[in-house]
Amino acid sequence: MTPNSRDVIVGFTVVLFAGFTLLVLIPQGIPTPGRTAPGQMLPDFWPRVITSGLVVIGVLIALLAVFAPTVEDAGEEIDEPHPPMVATLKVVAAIVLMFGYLWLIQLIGMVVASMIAIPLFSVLYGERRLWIFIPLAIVLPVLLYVFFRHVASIPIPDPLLRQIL
Amino acid sequence: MLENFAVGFSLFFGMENFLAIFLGVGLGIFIGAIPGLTGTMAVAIALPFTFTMAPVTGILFLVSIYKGAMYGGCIPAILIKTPGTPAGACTVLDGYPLARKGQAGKALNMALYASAVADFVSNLSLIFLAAFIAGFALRFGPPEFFTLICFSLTIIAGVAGPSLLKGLVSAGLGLLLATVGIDLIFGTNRFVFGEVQLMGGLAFIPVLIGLFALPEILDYYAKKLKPKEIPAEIGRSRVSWIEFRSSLKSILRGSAIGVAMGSIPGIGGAPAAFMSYSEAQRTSKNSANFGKGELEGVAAAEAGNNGVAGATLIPLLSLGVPGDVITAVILGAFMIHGLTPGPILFQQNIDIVYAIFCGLLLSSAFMLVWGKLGIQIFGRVADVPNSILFPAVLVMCVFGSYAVNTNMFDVLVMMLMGLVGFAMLKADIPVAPFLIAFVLGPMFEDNLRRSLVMSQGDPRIFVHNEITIFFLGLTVVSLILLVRRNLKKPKASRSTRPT
Repeated sequence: MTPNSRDVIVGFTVVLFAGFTLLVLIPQGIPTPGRTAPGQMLPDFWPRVITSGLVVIGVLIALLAVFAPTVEDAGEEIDEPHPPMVATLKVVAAIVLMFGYLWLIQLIGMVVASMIAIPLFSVLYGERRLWIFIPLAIVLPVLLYVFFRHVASIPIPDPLLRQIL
Repeated sequence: MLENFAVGFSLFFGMENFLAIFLGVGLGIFIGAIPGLTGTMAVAIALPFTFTMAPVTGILFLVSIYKGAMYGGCIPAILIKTPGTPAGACTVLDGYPLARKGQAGKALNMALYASAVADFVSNLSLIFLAAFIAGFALRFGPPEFFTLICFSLTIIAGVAGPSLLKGLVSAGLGLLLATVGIDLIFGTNRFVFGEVQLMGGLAFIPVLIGLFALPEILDYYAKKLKPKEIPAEIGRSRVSWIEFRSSLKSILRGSAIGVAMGSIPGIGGAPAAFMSYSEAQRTSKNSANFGKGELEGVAAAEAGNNGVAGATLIPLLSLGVPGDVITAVILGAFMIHGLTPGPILFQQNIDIVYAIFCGLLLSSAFMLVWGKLGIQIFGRVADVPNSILFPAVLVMCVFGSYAVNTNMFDVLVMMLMGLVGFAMLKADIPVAPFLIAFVLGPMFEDNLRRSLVMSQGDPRIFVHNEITIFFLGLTVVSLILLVRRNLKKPKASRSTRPT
């Protein structure tokens, strides 16, 4: 995908999002009082200004991309990327894993969930050196738990570890 | 001023503050030395760890990380030709050729001395200028603050990267997100949709961490894991007094350039480093050697870069507006600790202000200590594999986001903001304007609405005295210059990824 075609998509996405906010989210999400004193701006005034501005900017981005000469990607990536399909799959898997981690925290607590999550995230990167990430997966969550619970007095949700530490 | 210093020093003088600065500078250098991790990310992740600290200790810890990261960026720039921070890019020009000649230790030492001197000069300028400007700002009411924030918002154009329009999209999204919660004038909900957690608005830290830490972590999954470049040997070469003295002029000039550019919102360290470098090259008797491994080039670049550090705090402390992204984060930190930077801070918490000044002066010395003691260790930091580091950073993000209000909703917000940040990264939309707008947005709207209530809707209140006219004039001039600069940019440079 060239930067121009990407910018067209970006422009349209901005217009769609801002338009949806302007026409649906603001009327539904911001109740406005019937009467105002002189000089009082309604609560939806500022969000309407912002979203209207975003619509205009989105259109400008798309138009500039359509009418500007085609530009090739600068190709300045330092790290070699995966093939597009592999890259997409890996990123999607990481996002699923991230929300799985969130779900797991609510199920078994933050420390144990983190102990499980660190190796999974590392393996997904392609890391195979167990002797590095397994000790890290055990030590880091425990240290963070001890800091927040006993130094900062912030109750970290962890039913299992609370019995021990 | 001396009385204030005495009061501030008595508040500052405590082991916890010394320790916070010492650890903060060390942590900052460590993070800055890792390519891919930024000072902003470091401060964002460290912020929740300061909740239980005293305000002075917490702020000093964060500012020390910021300063350490600015210096730390030069380490991978010199050793592996990969700047740890954008401002470190200029140091590559002469630092890496020196490393190739087997003089990496000399380059690192010169960078350290230049950084420490520039940082100290920058801190002094902060101390002398901030109180003066704050005294002037005591006359400010809502209209004056509104026009000041208008001017501050123009820094968005400075951090927008290659495309001003995309920077504006980012800022618009930040402004919109900042409106979530209860309306301050009418007390009605905005974008709450029955979710009680949203009534107080989105918490600053989860938004910050999500935007600055998660996108890099997710983006790294799209890249192949490869062995890291082997860093150049540091060696034991030292900078002689004669070498230091011959670069001193460039260091002092670079410090002054850094102070001047840092005190203007939105400029940042990288342009200061390049301007300092080009001035040094123009005036040096070794100008032909610049770019081929000239020690004075390293000194000039690092002096320009670090001269910015203290100066960016001038608008933050005196006026309550951030000079760049990282000071926007530090502004959030002040608020979390129950302090509002600006003239009121100088009136009500002068002891805290001067305690912070004392700590800042000490941070320059600790930078020197860390640099001398740890140069060999920090030289190896660039070896830490991201495949190990990033999962650890993610776990710290989760703990930190949860700690804000001890609820999982903030962790969810952090992850969702991470996805937003990742989408912005892929669309080449910079995230820095988002954060600045998110911080300044509520102040902008609040002062606008208060001003109009005061004037009963008459917009002439914004041109009613010389202060508002001055700031509006600055805003207009700044916008014209920025738009002109953007229009003049070659199209090719617009396709590059924003930082």
